[in-house]
Amino acid sequence: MSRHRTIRNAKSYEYDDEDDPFGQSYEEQYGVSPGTMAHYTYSRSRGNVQFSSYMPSEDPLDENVDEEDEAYISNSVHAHDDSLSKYDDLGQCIESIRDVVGDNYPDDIVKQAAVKFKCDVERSIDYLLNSNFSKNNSFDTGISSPEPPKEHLGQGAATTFSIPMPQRADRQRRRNANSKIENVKTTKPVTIIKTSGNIQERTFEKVESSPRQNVKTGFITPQNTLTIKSTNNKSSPKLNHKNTTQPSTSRASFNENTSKGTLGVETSQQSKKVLLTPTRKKNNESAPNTPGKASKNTVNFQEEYVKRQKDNKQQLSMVVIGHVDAGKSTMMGHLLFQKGMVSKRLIHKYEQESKKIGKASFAYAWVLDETGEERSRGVTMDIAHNRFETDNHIITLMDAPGHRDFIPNMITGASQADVAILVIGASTGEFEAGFGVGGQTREHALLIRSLGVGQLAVAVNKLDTVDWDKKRFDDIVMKLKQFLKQAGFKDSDVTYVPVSGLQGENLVSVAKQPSLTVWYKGPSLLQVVDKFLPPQRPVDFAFRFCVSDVFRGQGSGISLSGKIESGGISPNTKVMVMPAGEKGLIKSIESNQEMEKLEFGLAGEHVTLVLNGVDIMKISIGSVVCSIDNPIRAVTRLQARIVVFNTEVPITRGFPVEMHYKAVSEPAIIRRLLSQLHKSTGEVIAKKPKFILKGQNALVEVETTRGVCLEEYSILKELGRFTLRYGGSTIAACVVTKLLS
Amino acid sequence: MKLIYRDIGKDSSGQVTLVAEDGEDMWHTYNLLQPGDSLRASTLRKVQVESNTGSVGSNRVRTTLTIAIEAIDFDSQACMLHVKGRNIQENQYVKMGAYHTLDLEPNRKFVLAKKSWDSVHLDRINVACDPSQNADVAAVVMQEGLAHVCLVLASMTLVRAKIETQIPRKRKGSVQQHDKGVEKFFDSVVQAVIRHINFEVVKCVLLASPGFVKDQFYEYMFSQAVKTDNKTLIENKSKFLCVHSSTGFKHSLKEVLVDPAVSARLSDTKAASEIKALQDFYKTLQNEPDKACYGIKQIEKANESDAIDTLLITDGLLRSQDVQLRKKLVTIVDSVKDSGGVVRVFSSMHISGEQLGQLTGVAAILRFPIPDMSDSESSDDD
Repeated sequence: MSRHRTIRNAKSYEYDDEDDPFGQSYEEQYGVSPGTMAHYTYSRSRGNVQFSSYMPSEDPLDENVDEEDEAYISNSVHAHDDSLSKYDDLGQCIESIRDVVGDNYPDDIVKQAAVKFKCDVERSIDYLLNSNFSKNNSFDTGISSPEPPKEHLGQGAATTFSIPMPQRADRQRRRNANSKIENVKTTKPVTIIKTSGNIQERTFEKVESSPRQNVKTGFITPQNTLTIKSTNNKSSPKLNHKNTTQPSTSRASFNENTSKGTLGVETSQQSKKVLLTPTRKKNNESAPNTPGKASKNTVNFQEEYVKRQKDNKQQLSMVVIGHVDAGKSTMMGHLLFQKGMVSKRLIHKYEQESKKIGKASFAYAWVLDETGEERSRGVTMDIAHNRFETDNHIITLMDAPGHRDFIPNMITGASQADVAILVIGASTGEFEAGFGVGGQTREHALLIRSLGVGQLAVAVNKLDTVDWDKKRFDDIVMKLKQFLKQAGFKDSDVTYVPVSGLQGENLVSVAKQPSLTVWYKGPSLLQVVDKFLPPQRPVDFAFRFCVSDVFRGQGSGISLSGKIESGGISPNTKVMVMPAGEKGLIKSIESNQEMEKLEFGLAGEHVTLVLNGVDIMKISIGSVVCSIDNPIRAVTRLQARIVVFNTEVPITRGFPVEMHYKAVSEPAIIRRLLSQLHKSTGEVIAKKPKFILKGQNALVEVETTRGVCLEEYSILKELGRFTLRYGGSTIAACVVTKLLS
Repeated sequence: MKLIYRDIGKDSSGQVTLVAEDGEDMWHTYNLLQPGDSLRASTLRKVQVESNTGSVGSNRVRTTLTIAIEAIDFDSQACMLHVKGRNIQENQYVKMGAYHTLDLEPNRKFVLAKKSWDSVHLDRINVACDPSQNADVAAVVMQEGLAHVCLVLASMTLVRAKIETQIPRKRKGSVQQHDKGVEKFFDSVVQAVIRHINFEVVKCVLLASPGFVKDQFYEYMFSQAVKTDNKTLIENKSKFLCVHSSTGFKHSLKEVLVDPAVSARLSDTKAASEIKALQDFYKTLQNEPDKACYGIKQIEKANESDAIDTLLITDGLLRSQDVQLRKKLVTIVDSVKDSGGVVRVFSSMHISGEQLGQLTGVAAILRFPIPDMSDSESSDDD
């Protein structure tokens, strides 16, 4: 008991400094030494530590931005002012200012003042006392967030690189917190401080009218005024451009606020801008859907879709397939690197590490192969998702495993894809092995065709190993052409590109290798990808979202990642998860890669839904999240038309198979053979056949043990396809003709 | 199974005395029993006693009862056999015609009397009493997130544990969640292996999976065994064998058992031979469709012309409560045997037997092609 008593008697502040229970996870309360804690955990009290430094595998994209802005900052620093050596004085200076002015002024302002007058204590104090910061004001900003001025300054400095996404801005803000001082110096400090003065006034005015809103505006307005300023001052085209590419700013709602406010000329200009840029207009419309506001107001997804088609880059899902070791991951890793999605530092690190385990050529593949098993074995095992942009598209890249045993995973990716890259290893003997009987080239190509992928880029990889031999390339193209035609690809939809994934030749930019350019004048791989046409999405259909991963994200609720197959969704909507029949509420929608919050999701997009009120045990990969008024049916028996591939065994009734659809594989049984159909006309050749042989078409009844969520092909073809596998090979491609009870 | 006494007359009526020793014997017994037979076994029964003073008490008495079988129930998980019927031999506790359910107990003898013993029954007794048939194999069929721990006995495959865990997929920047999920999954499989596999009986444990899951698991299990100082696992390390399978579903066990590496290590198990027989059937169907047929009607037809070379039939069909149907099947079996054919009775507890059960339950490879069979439809569509 005495132990308890000591605790009870202990003064609370004794625990304050490091063991603050908030902001730390539960586990950390156990036996972590202060040294470890100081080394590894983030504490707000230690101001100079960046939160991001605790995240080892930071988004490569962000890293890039980081580098960019560092570069920018250092450049501008040189341009504007060289007297940055007084850093050390700053702390002292602030302290002496504090001695005089006391705690009436928020840190930031004191710092600003100190920086402004280059650590001249006297002048800073003068400035502070003369300026109109009252206690009230500073208190107010203190509540809303200690950061607005910072943010403001950071953004002002970084007009050219800022990407106005709320999440990003948030992260940047943290980062910028450190380099704040430079930022202040880089831009015209006077204007900025004036604006912040403005803000203070404005927020003060609003306190009287509605205190609750004030907190919000207090936080938001600076950003806004800033944008106005920056657009006014520089009317930077780049900023506008970025805005259009990232339609998901929640700024829209802030815009409304501004227009309500009394900003006069500036506001009207701003609203003009709003009218000019279509995305902003859209955001204004959808603003009522941001959480916290009236959620009944539904977004007209179809309109949004049409708009998005016109305005923006289009979403395109692309799967990379091919025989094992054809170099899929390496090629895509290199492409991402050339696109600047992966930092040089990371690649260098991978090079070093892969060399250590004797797989130096796998460095680029490690960008996509992240698990330890995959790296040590040098084989991709599961689909890796990635995102990059081309001139016309936002591409969700899925790197599929090529190994025979991981075809179920490959199907998962392929069933979400709109287009595909087929990678062929051109080195001696490799193409033949991949294209032969045991090879995956054929199976993969047939699979993606049967899963609805029509457009294909064939990347003939590793041509550098055969000295860019044109004969080899032509030979491969000829053989493939014949086969792909049989598989049902139109010649016009297939493009052949000679590349080298390891050397990065002809991936992003057009080939430079002289021995290749002699005979190849065509486009690079990325240019081919850029020319793909996205399919029409069934936006008008009820909402359907196929879950391909279930995990616990940050915060409450569970995260489901996957692809929206049809319809659209906005947060704060009730949905149903089938086949469990669980009802839940969508808390937020995040894009898979950037982790930014979206205001709505449309068919064809890969997103992560954060769902509340659903039992995680009842949701599995393959569940379908659907609209509550028009839920999908979960059935155990269905009728399907099947096209039998090259199988060694005939299909009879009672045949045990694995049924693969979307991200799921389920054991199933062929219940009945209803009829054999003619290959092209679809006429019934024989009723109730004894068995079905390879190459035949048939109508069969399939039964599963658990409910599966599919739609009839005629209603929604995205959810109407599945494949049957048996004993490690794909035996049939199927479309659902009828759902039975 | 031990056969203690056998008295079957020329009219094929008579009785046998048997001792069932394990779960598998129960399964054999289950296949012998039919409604209408009489069964005599020792059992416990709750008996009400009225004392002199009129107070009523009840106590459980061990007594031997003879019942006329009405219903038979086999619990495949516990390998228990429950036989319900009416008492036909009155004793001091139980009246004539009173209902009783006999739970057949292992290692106690029972007497089964039938009006007519047929060849299938007698074969079954012979098979059951053959001690050389015992080859116990355990198998863990797995894929990422799904595992089946099975015991493969001579005439039945028992799924002892099915482990299904949600493993988060690898996502950019968060591989840890995936790795943690895999570890958790492996942990529960190791637990299942320790709990369900009796290494004193089992001669071989097959680890089967697509990809590298089996190797990963093998490593994990023995590193865990060393850590926790699990002697049974470490001592039996040599019994584990990694085999490839295409999925982690139960029916992948079929691929595992016919794997050459496995059959080299095990003596010919019934399960493997059944799978091979079924494969042969499918091969014939593929290459010479007229030389293979399935469905009772077609088989009957083929039998009329003595065409059947190999008959595949599930015991599920032979257990049929329909006396007429069973008689018909037994005649087919007998005539195939008489004409020099091979009859393979598949156990419906095996995967191959399950599949054959779906395929009407009876199939045959013929000696010579009989065309024009496909127009007569397979009879029992359900």
